[in-house]
Amino acid sequence: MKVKKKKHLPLLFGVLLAGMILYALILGYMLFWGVTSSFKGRLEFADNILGLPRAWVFENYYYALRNFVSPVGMRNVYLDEMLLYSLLYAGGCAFVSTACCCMMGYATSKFKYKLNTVIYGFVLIAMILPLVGSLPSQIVVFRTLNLYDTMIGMWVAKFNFISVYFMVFHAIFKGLPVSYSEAAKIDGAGNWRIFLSIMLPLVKVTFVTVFLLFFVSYWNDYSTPLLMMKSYPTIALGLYYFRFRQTPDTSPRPVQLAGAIMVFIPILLLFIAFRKKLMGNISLGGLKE
Amino acid sequence: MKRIKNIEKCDFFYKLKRKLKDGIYTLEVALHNKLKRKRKNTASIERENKLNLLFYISLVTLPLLQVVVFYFYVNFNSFFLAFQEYNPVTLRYDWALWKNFDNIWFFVSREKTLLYCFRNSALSYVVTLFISLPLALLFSQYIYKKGPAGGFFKTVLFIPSIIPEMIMTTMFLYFADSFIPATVKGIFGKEIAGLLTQGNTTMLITLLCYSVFISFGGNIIMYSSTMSGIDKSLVEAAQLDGATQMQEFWHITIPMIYPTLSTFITVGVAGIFTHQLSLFSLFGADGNAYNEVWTIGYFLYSRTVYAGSANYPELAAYGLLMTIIAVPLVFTVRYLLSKFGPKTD
Repeated sequence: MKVKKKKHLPLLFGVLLAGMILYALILGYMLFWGVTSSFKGRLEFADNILGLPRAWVFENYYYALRNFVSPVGMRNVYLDEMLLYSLLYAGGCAFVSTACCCMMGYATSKFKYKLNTVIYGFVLIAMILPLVGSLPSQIVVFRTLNLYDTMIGMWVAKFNFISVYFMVFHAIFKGLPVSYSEAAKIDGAGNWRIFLSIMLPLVKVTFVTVFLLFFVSYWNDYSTPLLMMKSYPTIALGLYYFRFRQTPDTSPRPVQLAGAIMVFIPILLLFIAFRKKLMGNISLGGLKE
Repeated sequence: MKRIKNIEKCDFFYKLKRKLKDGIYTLEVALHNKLKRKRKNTASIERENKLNLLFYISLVTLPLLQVVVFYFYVNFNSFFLAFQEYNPVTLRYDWALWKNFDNIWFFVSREKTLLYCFRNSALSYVVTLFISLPLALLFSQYIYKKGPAGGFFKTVLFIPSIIPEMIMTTMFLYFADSFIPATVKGIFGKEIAGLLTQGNTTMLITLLCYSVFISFGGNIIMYSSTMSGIDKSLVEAAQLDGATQMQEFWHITIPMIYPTLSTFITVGVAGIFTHQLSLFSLFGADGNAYNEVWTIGYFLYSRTVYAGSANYPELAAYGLLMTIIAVPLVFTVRYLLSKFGPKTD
């Protein structure tokens, strides 16, 4: 017998719904205001703050594009080159980070060695252990190893499994039945083959999700390139330079907003294309049994 | 007759002998087979173990090597760096024991900057713990229980976390500094300064509100997907008993996701010392931000950005001091969470 669900909304959900509607309105309006204001004339922005632009000034985007440069030594790096560096930085780092977490997750969950407990415990402790202010030391070490200010240096630095995603992979591999790999083993498959052609396809969705999450965070990250990779400015770093450069062409607020919106477009497209994956189900399996 | 009897007797012994021989032979064969198979088995198991070990080593070696260099060595080096100073002649770091700490003491005794940093960082954690986190959990419960338009709000709450920080802060800065004063003037006819204007008392509150505003994204995804793993029968039982949503949230959801929750709270403690309250994206170099709103994370990061080799030891010393405060704090929080957390029953 089907029980009809109650129609009325519980009080708690009513309050939460109201809160979330308010949140959506504020966020939506802020973005809307930002986009429309980026089309305002420089003088108009001062006296017509709230309304729509009286005359739509598209030149703001032209100025933003032309002045979107990062200084590298004596030369200027423009948007196209920054796009390349962004792709290399975000794509490369996201791939090595995901691959490292995945490899370690697999190794520590599918094989029974004492080292596994040590590794898992170490990650748990390293994640909560606040070793503050190691950045200067990191720079010194990078300089010693000739990795400072190189793209490969960044990839090496991000090939790291001290992350919550290591635990995500660990939990997922642990949950996969042994029968898959045993069946393959009887058919004569080796360890690498089992890992690459059987186990990886099974966790493909998680792999892509983690990759995309890493990708977005590296794409948006300007603080690491600002410290460690100044010769290869990414778009996010370019926006940082753009934001704090005081020139008559770039400092007006509508131009600033135009620059910000311009570089938001790639990430917006990525979000629209992979919305489901980016917001996919990821859990640590941290439930009480 | 006697002869016949003898023949029968012989026959009997003969048969017995044959039978015994056959038996021994079968036993031998069986034993031989068994032993051979066993030998073969141990050999193949050993081989497989070897292969497994080789595969395991090939997977873990590089990641472990990376951790040894970029985690252990970097942090040890940071510790030693705190007791060294830069020698501009040899371009090396020489031992200088307490010099960096003396400099820090000199700075602390003259200026209130570090005091502000501690206050604001602590405040930011309190806000995260008592405002952002409960809100994130409640919103996650709403999404997990499939409240009206839950999917839509999940997306909306997620958006600020994928928009690059620089873009969000650019928009927010102008929104707070231009839009809000203009709106207040339009509605109340009162002139107010921009919420993020240097030196304005509203600055810290605005920054804290903003940090709550952008905090939901990934947390909500993590919590709501952990919640979706909760045993349905438990929830149904509670509903049959007439539990309200709030009761269900408090007595089922929270205890069930407690392991994930406590991990996140503990990891968050480290955030006290790294969280920048978006100050660097909003104001850039340290001269531009009013020092009463600084946080420890902002202080250390902005100094590192503008530091040269000569400043690294002093910054490492700051780091060491913060670590000495942070580590016991983290373990206290962890202990308290395990002691006062919900028990499994």
